[in-house]
Amino acid sequence: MRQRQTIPLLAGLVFTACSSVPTRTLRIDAIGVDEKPVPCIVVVGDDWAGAAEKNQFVNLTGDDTLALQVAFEQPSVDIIVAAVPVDQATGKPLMLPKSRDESAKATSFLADFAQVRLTDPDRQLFILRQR
Amino acid sequence: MRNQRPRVPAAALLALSCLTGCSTTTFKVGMIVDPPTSAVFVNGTRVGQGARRVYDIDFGPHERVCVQATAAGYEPMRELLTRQQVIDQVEKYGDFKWYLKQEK
Repeated sequence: MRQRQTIPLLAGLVFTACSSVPTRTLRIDAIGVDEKPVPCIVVVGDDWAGAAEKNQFVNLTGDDTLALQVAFEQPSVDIIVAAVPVDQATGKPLMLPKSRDESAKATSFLADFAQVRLTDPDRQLFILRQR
Repeated sequence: MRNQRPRVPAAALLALSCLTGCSTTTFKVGMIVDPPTSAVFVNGTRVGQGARRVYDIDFGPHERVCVQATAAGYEPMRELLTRQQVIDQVEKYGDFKWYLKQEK
């Protein structure tokens, strides 16, 4: 009887331990081929709306890096870094692209992409080509 | 009288094996990028320019290193390299040679 109760409990514990998703903080930077900083939105997976909501931008007001917390539900995570047009006076994006095409049409840059693994280096540099 | 083995050599041996283990995370890698004005980045940090240079590539705790090169007017390159790829390259082929494509 006791064994009957123990087995589901153990199974539950194993499931909890296995289902915890590892997370890492990546430092994202974006430059053009001339090494100058490019204002960009940083998209994890294909969640463009989520990236805007979570304020995942880099270089909006100068040269900086974005500390991005990433959950690795899969062995690797797709990261897209796409240029955004910026209002120089306010340092805010003039529009929020929802695709790589929209970003390319609104700026002179093509988005860059990387498949980042949990065991890859923290600092991730994206180099955007001119359109 | 019991014959005790000296402990110092064992500790020294352990320290030596740790040092040997740690030293394998860094590799000296020769790299040539064309055009010579290209900037070279390792793990997102600018480490030099395209003309031939030997770089210390440190894997640290990571399985791969990211090597990138860029120059104005050219398409940038990115390679994610494992330790084995670096070892194979150095032993079999020598320097990494990258030729950036001109942008159309």
